[in-house]
Amino acid sequence: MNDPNSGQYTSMPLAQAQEQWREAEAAAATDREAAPDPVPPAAPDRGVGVQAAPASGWPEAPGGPVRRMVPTVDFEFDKLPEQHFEDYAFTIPPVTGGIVYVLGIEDDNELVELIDTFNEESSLATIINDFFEATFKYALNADGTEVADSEQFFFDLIAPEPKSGQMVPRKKLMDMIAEAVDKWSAELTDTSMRPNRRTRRSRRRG
Amino acid sequence: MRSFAQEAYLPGVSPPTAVLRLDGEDFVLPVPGTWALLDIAANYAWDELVPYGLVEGDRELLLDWLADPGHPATWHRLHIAVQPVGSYLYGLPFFTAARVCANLLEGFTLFRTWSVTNVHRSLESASAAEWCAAALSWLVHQGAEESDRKDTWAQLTIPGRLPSEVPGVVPEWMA
Repeated sequence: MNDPNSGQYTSMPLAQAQEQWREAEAAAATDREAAPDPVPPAAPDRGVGVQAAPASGWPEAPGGPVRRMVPTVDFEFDKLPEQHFEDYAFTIPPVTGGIVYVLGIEDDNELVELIDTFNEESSLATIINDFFEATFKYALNADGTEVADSEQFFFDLIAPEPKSGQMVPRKKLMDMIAEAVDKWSAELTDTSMRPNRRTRRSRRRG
Repeated sequence: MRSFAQEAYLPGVSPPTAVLRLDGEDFVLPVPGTWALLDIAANYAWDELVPYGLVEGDRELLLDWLADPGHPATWHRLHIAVQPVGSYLYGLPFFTAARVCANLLEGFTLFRTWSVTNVHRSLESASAAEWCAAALSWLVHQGAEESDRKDTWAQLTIPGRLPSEVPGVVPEWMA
């Protein structure tokens, strides 16, 4: 029988190797029973339905006790880079010419909430209104100056029955929403971890 | 002693669960079957593994952390933390496995045609990592020139942004 500690191995069928592994596990379990592991701290109450952890503090696997498992990953969240989302800007040329509308989110929980809103059965009007309520930041004229009372200006503009001017097609607004969500979702899963600079302007609302 | 079964998920040999240690807390992930893993990778549905694939209790705890604005856990950071989970399950960082599997899904018939003469073992019982290895070999070797093969390798393995929609066919989605 191969001794895994000997450094010497001979080839064998996989099934035989698995059987030897199980025998080694059973022998190790017998040894552990003679000298039990220290009792771990009580696990936090995680609610109904959670299987009670065995005395070793590790999950049971079918076929017998499981040796203490080395974690696959081991991270401290605050050691990982933060996420800063870039603003999303768009225009509505046929309606308001060169005016630029800027949307933004502060963190990925906002993005998750926005995506959840889409997945709920809501009316188109609700989706559009809720999305822009959460993300609208400001509007800029073509010369770079901010549109006076830009928030009110924008929501009057996208109203289903605007007070003046033509209605902005709902499809146009949904396209903008989809593009913004796509952009932020791509930033969320950006593995390049390029540094993102925060925009100079902070949220104006809320 | 380091073990292959700890570095890579070996069906039938490795434990049926993986453990993720985040902020000192252990989270248990029952490993899905091969086809579920391939679907997850092809759609880059990494959240279907972590946090939604965790055992009950662990899942709720991690979701609570993510919802807590005072906790350092964020979805972005979690996405970084799951990349090595991909290495364990697919033999590739999660984002690379996603690119490989998405292209495999898109060109499945072509891959099966290629595999008839180029894959020298049955894939019916293969693990997700073996599928990824075969698909990666297929994608890379589609390049006629060495430079083409290097370009494909780079497009698959260099970190970057993945769009939220289902990845499409090379090269548009990989650009």
